Amino acid sequence: MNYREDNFYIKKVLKGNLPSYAILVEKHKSLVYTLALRISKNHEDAEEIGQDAFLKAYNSLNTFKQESKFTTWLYKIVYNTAVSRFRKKHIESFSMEDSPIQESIQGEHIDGLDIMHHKERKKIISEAISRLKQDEGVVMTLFYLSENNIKEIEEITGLTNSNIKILLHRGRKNLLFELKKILKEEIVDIL
Amino acid sequence: MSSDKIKNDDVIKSIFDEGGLEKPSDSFTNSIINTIKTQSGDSVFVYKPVISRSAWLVIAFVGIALFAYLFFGFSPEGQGLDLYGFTLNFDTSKIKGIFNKIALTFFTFSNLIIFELRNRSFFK
Repeated sequence: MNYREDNFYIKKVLKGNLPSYAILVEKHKSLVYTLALRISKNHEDAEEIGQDAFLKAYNSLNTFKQESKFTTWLYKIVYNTAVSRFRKKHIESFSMEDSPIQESIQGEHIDGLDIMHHKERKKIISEAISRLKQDEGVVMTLFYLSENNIKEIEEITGLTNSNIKILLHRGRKNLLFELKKILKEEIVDIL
Repeated sequence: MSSDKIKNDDVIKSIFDEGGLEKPSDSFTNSIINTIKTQSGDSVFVYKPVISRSAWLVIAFVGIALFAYLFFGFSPEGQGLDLYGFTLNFDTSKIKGIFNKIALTFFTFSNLIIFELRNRSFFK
């Protein structure tokens, strides 16, 4: 489906057109869900967080001033909803310490991925990303998937510029490390 | 930015493009829209009384004014109700006039009732 600019739908929603909001949800649901999943690490929680965030966004849409992108505003709601829910559960703290950086991984090719079928590749990549620490997963998703710049990520997460850069650096290395690890496990399983 | 870093960045970008996006359940959007509809529905069906508060106030005011007019209205021919030295003037002609007006529109009082009202010992 070819979507129009977010503002087109927002104006209609503000005039009381609910189907336009359904289109907005359809347009952004995958990224919202992915972002929620990076924090919750659980599909059921991610679904609830995503829905909760979209409801909050609908109820406060009249406060969206269009100074920033709609997605930046929306992801901020998703991030805050996910983090507050996560804090309530007391599962794990958002820490930037003790992240295992695998220096030897940088620059290596992930050759194993080239010979795999698309479905298998997607499954392995998804697994590797899910193994990233929460804050790394969030920042990497926003930077590489949603293509937000560092300033926008600052606005969404409230993290500082230098923190984001560190998380991106660690995230890249850890992702490649996890991919290699999974590929090795796969090969061992085959053998 | 070094060439290694750019290359590494491209690899990461392609990895995310291929497998980074997750999809929610098929009922995701419907669930949100249904919840919004329920919310909106709740606000539409707010209880509203048939007779508003202000209408009740007007009715009460008219009632009080009517009774005050009947009991305290000045009338030279009025017959008083003696309550421990305080006399309430009660003008039966006004009552009759009101009843006659009502009778014209809604119903009629029989002569017997009007006679009773005028001659009850209570008002003498």
